[in-house]
Amino acid sequence: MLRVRHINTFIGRKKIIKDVSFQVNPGSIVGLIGPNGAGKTTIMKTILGLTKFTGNISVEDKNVTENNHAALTRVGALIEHPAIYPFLTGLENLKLYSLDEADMNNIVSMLKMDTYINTKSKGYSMGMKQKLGIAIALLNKPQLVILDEPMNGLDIEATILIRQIIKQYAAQGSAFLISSHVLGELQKVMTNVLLITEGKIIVDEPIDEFNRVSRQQYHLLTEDMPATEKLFAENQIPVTKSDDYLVIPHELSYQVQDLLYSHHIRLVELSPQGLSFEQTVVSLLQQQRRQNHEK
Amino acid sequence: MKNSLKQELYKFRHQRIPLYGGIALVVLMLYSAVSSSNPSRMLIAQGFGAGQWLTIIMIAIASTFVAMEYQNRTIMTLFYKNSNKSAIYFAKFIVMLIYGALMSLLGLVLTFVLKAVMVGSKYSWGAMYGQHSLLIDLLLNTAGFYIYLLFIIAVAFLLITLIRVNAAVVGIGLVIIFMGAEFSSLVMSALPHFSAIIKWNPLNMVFVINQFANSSYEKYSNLSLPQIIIGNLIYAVIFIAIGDVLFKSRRV
Repeated sequence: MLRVRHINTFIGRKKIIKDVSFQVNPGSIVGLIGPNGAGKTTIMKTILGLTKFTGNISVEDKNVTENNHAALTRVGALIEHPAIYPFLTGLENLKLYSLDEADMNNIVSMLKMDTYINTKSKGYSMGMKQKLGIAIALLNKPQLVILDEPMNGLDIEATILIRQIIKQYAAQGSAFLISSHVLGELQKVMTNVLLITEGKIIVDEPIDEFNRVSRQQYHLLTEDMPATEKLFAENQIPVTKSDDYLVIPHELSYQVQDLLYSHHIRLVELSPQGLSFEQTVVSLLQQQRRQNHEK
Repeated sequence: MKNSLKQELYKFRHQRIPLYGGIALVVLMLYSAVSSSNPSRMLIAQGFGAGQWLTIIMIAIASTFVAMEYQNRTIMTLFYKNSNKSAIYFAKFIVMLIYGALMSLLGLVLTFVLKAVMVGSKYSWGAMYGQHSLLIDLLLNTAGFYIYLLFIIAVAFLLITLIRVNAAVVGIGLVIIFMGAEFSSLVMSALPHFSAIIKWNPLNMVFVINQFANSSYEKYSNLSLPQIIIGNLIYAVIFIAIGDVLFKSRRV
């Protein structure tokens, strides 16, 4: 689908994106995460052929260059702010780019915009404009959708709706590249994490793998803790105590469950422990800054 | 290009600004007509100042038509959906030329109406006076200011891509229209040895508005009618070309 290889993007003489490579597969939802000024929007603009760059970008094996956007025919995008003409109605804004009227009407209904789609968009609230911007990005059954802070200005109901729609489109094969400062929202939809700082990708992996690595320990509570401790000691299971719990390594969780079952000790709680998603991201960014500082 | 032209026409006709431009032309021509208690033949031949008013209106509308893409942040969507950024620029230019032609037509119609209302049959459309009849003078003046419209739209497009501030573009445009000719004449009379070169300066091109119908304006412009027409067209091409390069290369 989208393949980005060794891209460098310059603004003036300053290198903003540094040798970035990654891939977005059909049906995947890739979360592009990073602090302000890390280069998230610049990467998105580069993919859309809006900046000068070196390296290679291709969509469905067709190259994107600054002057050739043929590969972007089925790419939808919302970058920074919704691109809306205030003197047009919502529907007229959509008509400007739509190639399929049925698809356009379906998007309007799906996003629950029917009540105001025929009024001039200059009167829209921020959330309504944001929804219209997302609707423009979803037009014409896109293979790839690039969304920069899509949840900006949306209320809770609209946020849930957009999340559902993103999942629905992904299930039909559309790929998404989404940046957001609201990590909790991204975490609920993304299948892959791209962590970027100072123009470099420092993490590129599936979300499950990312979560697994950040959760290296489990807290264990059983009906009979003294018997459990004795059993683990006999079987040389390395454990530590934390309040009422025993802390076991992540890789021994299955072995421990089997052992307890075979000795008829019932589990009360076995829960993954470790840093939250946000804490892991912050910790990785701090670690990267320290490394850069040491260099 | 065809798609860009379709999109630009769609956007333009859905705005109020073309209507406001028409209303402004009507009001300003009426002002020209009523501010003179007895309109002269020359005022009628000049379409009650239609050429002068229209160039001002067109500067404002042309620069707004480009500036809106930056103001509404639609420029990014326009650019990523098109490989050919020049097509967007030229499509906008063509839309302005079409609008300019329609406004010129409105100016002509309004001149007929105002003449009928204000002076009745005092000046006959067909009667010869000086070089041409009144009707031919009016048509030649209209042709003159349409040529100048090409020049002024190209200037407006170049300025808005360069400075992106609509008010500044309108201000500079007004200076070019109102003071350009006088400044150009002043420089030519002050430096007569260099007038062969100075006469080709862009500020001098405004004389094309009057020179079409009245060859005596040659003594102010120092250019013959073919020369001043070609001068306007060449400047328009140069400004469009520079504007296009700037439009394509500006970071969005």
